[in-house]
Amino acid sequence: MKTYLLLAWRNLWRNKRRTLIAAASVFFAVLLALLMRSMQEGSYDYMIEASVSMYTGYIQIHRDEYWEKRSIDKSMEVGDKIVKEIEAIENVTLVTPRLESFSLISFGNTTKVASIIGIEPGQENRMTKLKNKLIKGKYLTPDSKGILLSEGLAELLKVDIGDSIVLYGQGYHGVTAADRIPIEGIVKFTLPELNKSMAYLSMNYSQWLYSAPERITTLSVMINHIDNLQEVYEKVDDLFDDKYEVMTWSEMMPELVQGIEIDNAGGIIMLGILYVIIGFGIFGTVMMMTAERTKEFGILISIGLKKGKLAFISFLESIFLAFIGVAAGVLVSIPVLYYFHQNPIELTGQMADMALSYGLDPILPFRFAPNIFVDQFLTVFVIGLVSVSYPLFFIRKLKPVEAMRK
Amino acid sequence: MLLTLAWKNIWRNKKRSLIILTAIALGLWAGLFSVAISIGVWEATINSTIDRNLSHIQIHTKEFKDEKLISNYIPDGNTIADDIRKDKRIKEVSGRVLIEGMASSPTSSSGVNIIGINPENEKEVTSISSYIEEGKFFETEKRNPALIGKKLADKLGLKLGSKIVLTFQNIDTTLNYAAFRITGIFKTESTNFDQSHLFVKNTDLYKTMESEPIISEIAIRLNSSDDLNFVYSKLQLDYSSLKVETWKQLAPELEFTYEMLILELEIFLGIILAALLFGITNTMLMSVMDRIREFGVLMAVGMKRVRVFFLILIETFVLSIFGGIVGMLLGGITIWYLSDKGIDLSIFAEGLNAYGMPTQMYPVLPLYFYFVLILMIIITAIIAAIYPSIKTIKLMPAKAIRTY
Repeated sequence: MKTYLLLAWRNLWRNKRRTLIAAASVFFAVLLALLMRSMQEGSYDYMIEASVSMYTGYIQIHRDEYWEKRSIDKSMEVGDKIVKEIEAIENVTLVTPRLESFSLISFGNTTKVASIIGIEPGQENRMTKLKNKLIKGKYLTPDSKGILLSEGLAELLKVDIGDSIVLYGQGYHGVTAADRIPIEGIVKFTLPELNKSMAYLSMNYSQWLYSAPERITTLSVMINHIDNLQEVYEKVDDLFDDKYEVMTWSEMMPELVQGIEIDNAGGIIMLGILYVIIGFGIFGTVMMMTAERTKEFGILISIGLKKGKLAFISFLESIFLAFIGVAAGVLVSIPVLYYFHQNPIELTGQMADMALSYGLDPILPFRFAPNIFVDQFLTVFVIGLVSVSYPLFFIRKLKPVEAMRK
Repeated sequence: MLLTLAWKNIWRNKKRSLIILTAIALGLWAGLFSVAISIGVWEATINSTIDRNLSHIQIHTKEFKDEKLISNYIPDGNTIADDIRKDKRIKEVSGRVLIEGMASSPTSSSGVNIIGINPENEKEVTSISSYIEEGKFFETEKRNPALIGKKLADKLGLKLGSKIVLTFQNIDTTLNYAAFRITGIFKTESTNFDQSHLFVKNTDLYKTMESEPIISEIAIRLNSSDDLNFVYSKLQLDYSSLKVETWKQLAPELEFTYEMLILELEIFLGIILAALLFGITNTMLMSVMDRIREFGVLMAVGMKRVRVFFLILIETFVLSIFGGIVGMLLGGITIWYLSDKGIDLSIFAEGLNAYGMPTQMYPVLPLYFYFVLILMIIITAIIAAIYPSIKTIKLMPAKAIRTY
């Protein structure tokens, strides 16, 4: 066995040029496939990250049926103890409660529907960076009895800091919730839908206003990285019985999941096309190299080497060759992808403006994670192995007498 | 002369040339085709958005866009709608009353866009009537009928025949409460649309608001989308005091998605060509290495080094361009054939509908993509040719002639 390995290895380096050309075609295959995949998965990670930190968080906990009904009647009382327990779970970075509802907001002769969110100002800011979005006035404090309006909503109502709006809505168990509330600040969201519909109250005040003392509708959980989601989800789910629903971002934003799945399906088809081209490239190279060695094979067989053994040696050569190419590809890709992961490609011009207006940074991000390396390593290795196994068939059909005369 | 020689050289080793030609042709064919499918899917999504709600052109007052108030109605709206309807290029015009309000059921409430329509006109302008899943499209004797999105109905716990209370502002800014009855539930490809829209008859709205027949939006459907720009400019001139917008201005996110898609597809084609580039370089390098002796002889009998260099350059170039042309022809023909016939994806209907996509798909490839591709192939060919040609420059005739 050792002899065969040695023989195969030496054969490989007997003609360096040939080996390097073949290994290079595998190498570039890995590099290109990795670039393509990393860019695609990177953009998904980025979209998810941007969407969850805009509002929902990675995981939310509600009373059972709340998500379907969105009624304040489906709110819940959650003790400090359980919040502490969630915060203690590894990889959880933040837990923030909310009391959400829809109400009418009026000023003068204008009335608008808004989503009214009761928040713990400090935690909310850590999660959604709400304070950074403040363009006028003050941010909420835990005791404030004022309201934060989104910029678009304030424009529609033609109000400014210091004015007082009238809020009118349905509280817990059908009690009317109505009050005159001074505007404390104005926040600007990049996303037009949010900018026209959001209004924030402090948690204490909103619980009083909606006659829902100690009650919240939502506990929103942030984690440090999406790869830890499943693990955290299971631990959180264990803490709650079936009177509650624990949902991940993918259940809360099915449109985003669908968008990603469609795009990903397209990406995989394109990757398939790339593999076919790569396969052809490698196959062509290997075929040439085998043809060059016809005479050599002919001589070896006629002096007594069994075809099976020759095929085995050339199979070992193939494995070495594919492995060298794939390994080199992965090794070189690591710094390249890492660089792009740290310094994403920036979009320019109109595209950049448009991305910004949707609250996204104008960049093409790359993913840097073990899974894409492993996936592409294995796939290209298999493609490479299939292509470089051509000599096996070639040897089986070889007629030594004819081959020697070439 | 060199060109003929190059052409003949390419076919000296048929197997080798055919492999790389197949790779180029297949790569470009598959690349072009998948690009055309991506763009086709995007166009189908746009068309369904136009069909569902957007229509081709909409007219509002200039204030409506920012304020969205019922008092921003179009002065003499119905007369304008009737005038526009006379144009032969226009299929139908629907005057709509748009109101933002609250919809309350016994259990819950939600913000909602109330759209007051004339069912007869609306039917011709958008396809909402074909999305009815339960109940009927206003063909009912019941008082105050309302059509509601499936998602919104679920959210509010409503069924066919349930009562719903709508709260909204009158023109004189007083609040209005009106009870409607659910007579139809619609489900479109867009969940967002389904959870925020509710249709009622415009006449019922006028009655509850005790108002004149006013409209706040004129939605126009053309017979052919080719007339879009023409009709748009004409309407803009005729009604300069109003805001006339095409679907492109109404839904800028569609344009953004398109731009992103095109960028992604160009990157994809770039990667395919890069993969081909290495294939071509490898093949030519191999070919040069095989023929070192031949080049030695050629140079020894007096062929200039530069001419050998150009010979290889031309060989690579011809090989790439030839493969490129075959691939583009194949791709072009496939796309042309299927763009007429369409691809029937109804076996995957369930999955596709869940994604809001239609089951009949027509691949489309804008003409400029072909030009971009030709340019990319030429660049690829040049880059691929550099290394193998340089190899020949360095050859020493005396040494080369002794190489086997």
